[in-house]
Amino acid sequence: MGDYEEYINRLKGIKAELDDRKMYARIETRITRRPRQLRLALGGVLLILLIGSLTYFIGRPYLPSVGNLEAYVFPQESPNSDPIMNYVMVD
Amino acid sequence: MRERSNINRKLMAKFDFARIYEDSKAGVWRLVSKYVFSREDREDLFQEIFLKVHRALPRFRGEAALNTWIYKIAVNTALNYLNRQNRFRWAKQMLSNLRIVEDEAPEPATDLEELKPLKKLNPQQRMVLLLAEVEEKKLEEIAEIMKIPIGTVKSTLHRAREIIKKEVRENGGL
Repeated sequence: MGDYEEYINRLKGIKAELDDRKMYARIETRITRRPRQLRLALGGVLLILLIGSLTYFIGRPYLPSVGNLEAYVFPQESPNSDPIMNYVMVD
Repeated sequence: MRERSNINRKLMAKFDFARIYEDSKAGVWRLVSKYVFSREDREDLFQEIFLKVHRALPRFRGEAALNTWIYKIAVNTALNYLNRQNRFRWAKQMLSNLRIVEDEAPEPATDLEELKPLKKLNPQQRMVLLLAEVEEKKLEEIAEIMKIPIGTVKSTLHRAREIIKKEVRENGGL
């Protein structure tokens, strides 16, 4: 028998220990943990969307629009707030 | 009623998976234990394979034999596992060259002396050799499992054998 065949036979004979009960328990834990993580991630995305849309709709009247260009100016810079700014804005 | 059928389906899936695990754990472990070299990697890869089996179980339609189907998942997961590790090692090596991280990425330690020659093979060569020589699969079956042409299986196996023969010769039969 050649060196190669001998080596392959030895390779076949290798028996690494497997603690299959422990492995199964770990796999089961990961199986149950995954949907929970997915649900958490999905919940997080929905929460961000909810906060974003609430902020948008509640703050909508204060957002600048074509009909309300003053909204581009900060309150303290509005024409009636500060004499210097008033000067700048009026002239 | 619907809830009960959901519970039943879950129980059935769990039962099926437990049975599949019992039937195939030895074969998967045999392959994994020679494909990667440290205990940690073996356990990681073993778990990853069965997680994928569990995830893919509802899609199993019985077109291929269950054993071949599991081998396909095991082989693909194992190849991806090493490719991912190699990419990570390459990135770490690069960072180490740029002196961003201190130590160089070490090669994984081999806890079994007999596995050392297999380190000379790339992941695909190693897998083909193990399937052909240790698992004693036919070339056609290997081609199906690895989704590569039979000609590629033959040439990869030939190359792998040459490398191992050289390695064994140089190390005096180990």
